[in-house]
Amino acid sequence: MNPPYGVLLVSGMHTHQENYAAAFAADKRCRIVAVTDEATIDRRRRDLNERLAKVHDVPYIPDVAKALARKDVHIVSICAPPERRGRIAVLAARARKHLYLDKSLVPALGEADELVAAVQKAGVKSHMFCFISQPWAKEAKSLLESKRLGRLIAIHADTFFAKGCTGTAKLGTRRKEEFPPQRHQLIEAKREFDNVGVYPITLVRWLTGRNFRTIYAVTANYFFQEHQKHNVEDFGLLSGTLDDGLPVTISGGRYGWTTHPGFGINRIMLVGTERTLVVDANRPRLEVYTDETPWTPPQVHPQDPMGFWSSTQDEVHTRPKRTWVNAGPAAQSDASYFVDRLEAGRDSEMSVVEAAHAAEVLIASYRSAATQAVVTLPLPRK
Amino acid sequence: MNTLADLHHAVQSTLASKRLGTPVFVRYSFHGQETAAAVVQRLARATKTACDWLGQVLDKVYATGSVKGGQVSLMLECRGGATAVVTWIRGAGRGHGVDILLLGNNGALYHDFGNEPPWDETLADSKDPADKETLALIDRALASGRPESAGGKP
Repeated sequence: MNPPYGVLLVSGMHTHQENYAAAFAADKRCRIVAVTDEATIDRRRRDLNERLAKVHDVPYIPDVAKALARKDVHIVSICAPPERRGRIAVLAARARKHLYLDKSLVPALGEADELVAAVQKAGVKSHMFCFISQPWAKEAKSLLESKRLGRLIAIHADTFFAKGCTGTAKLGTRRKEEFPPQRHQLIEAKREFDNVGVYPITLVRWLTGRNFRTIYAVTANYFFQEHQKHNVEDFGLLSGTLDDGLPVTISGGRYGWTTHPGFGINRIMLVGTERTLVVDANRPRLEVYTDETPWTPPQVHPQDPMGFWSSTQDEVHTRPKRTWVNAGPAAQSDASYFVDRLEAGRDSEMSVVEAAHAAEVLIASYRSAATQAVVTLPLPRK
Repeated sequence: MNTLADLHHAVQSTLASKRLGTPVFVRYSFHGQETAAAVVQRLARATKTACDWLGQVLDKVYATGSVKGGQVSLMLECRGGATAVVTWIRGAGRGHGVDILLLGNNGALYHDFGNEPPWDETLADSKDPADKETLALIDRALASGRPESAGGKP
């Protein structure tokens, strides 16, 4: 396989595909070929898909099977909603295309297993969007491998997105979690532990090379009435152990535009026998204070009240937060990381095998939250 | 000399100002060189502090790690739905070695090594004995490896 690599986009505007497509388009080794989706999608989704096709000046192919048959497609970037993502990814693997996948992988264990089997059988490469190409994540791995901490004895991670208008959830009672979770992504809310917690979960696995063994988790509705209304959590907390007994705690979710000077807290505390290391995505940084008008949240976009998508935030003229300025190295795009791996003939460090484990951790978390009990992995298969 | 009480007072004052709205989650991590018995005392005092900040009654504790292993984490669930993680780490951390993330439904409070004096010095903690029921609950959680209810039932 030689460049340019043809990239087929599954699903369009109002998904993370907006960002992924831009990253592939910015990589000179890649060429966006078309946008596609399942033939049975509704009119709204089709309009949004066609809009992304126009942005990149490529055709919209309304039947994913026909799009996958194209010889000029090498990579398929899939951002269909979680409930449709797995079956499309399996089709793409069977068509012997490399897979670039939105997070989290899939919401059901059977789908994760089927996808892993399809990818392995087809011998294609795969990658799920994650933070492993970020300089601070690489630094954490490098420091761990240098043994400067001594022996690793615990990991604690917090990842929250500072978006959405907070303070509207009704408090005072515990969330009653459902299992299995019935919905993950709506227009005005997402399951935020799935959406955000997947990042620290994948980082822990990537940093340690260990699988999770036990999970005790709580989900909650602390911030947004939108999430409460749709019975999806805006907060999750996990306390677990890895298969070598290492304790891990993770908190994650969405906590509002004005709770953080940047995108949100995103850090991982690595506790060693010799020292504790805090790796923070917001450090090193400059702090800049000026006579500029202080940052204020954007107007609420009716099609995206939580600020999920880049295009909707452009439409309501969301200003960038500029008090904190990154003083570390620039990050390589996640898409370019995957292309590097393809060129090297190596699978991603966040292949579907790794992503499937993260999916299993998330599923176990929801089961634990629903049953209020410790859940042991691997989960039983039917 | 700064004390832990000074830091706690600053947090409590911020909560009392209502700027964060209703507190819903606390992550409280601290470093120390205590003996085993003193570690559980400190964990119990920190647990009470976290619940006081949340303004809710403790309902469940789930413990991972061990004093012998050099790290203990307590996941706390309160009756009104608020949650917390209290962590003790053997050793001396950066600055005062105390790390606090406190989320309210209208805002967040952060205190980490970047907010501490640029030298490493453990803060003096209270010598007051911890609440006996909380101590017993933490001991049970550490021994059982499962979520332990403050009411005595798992």
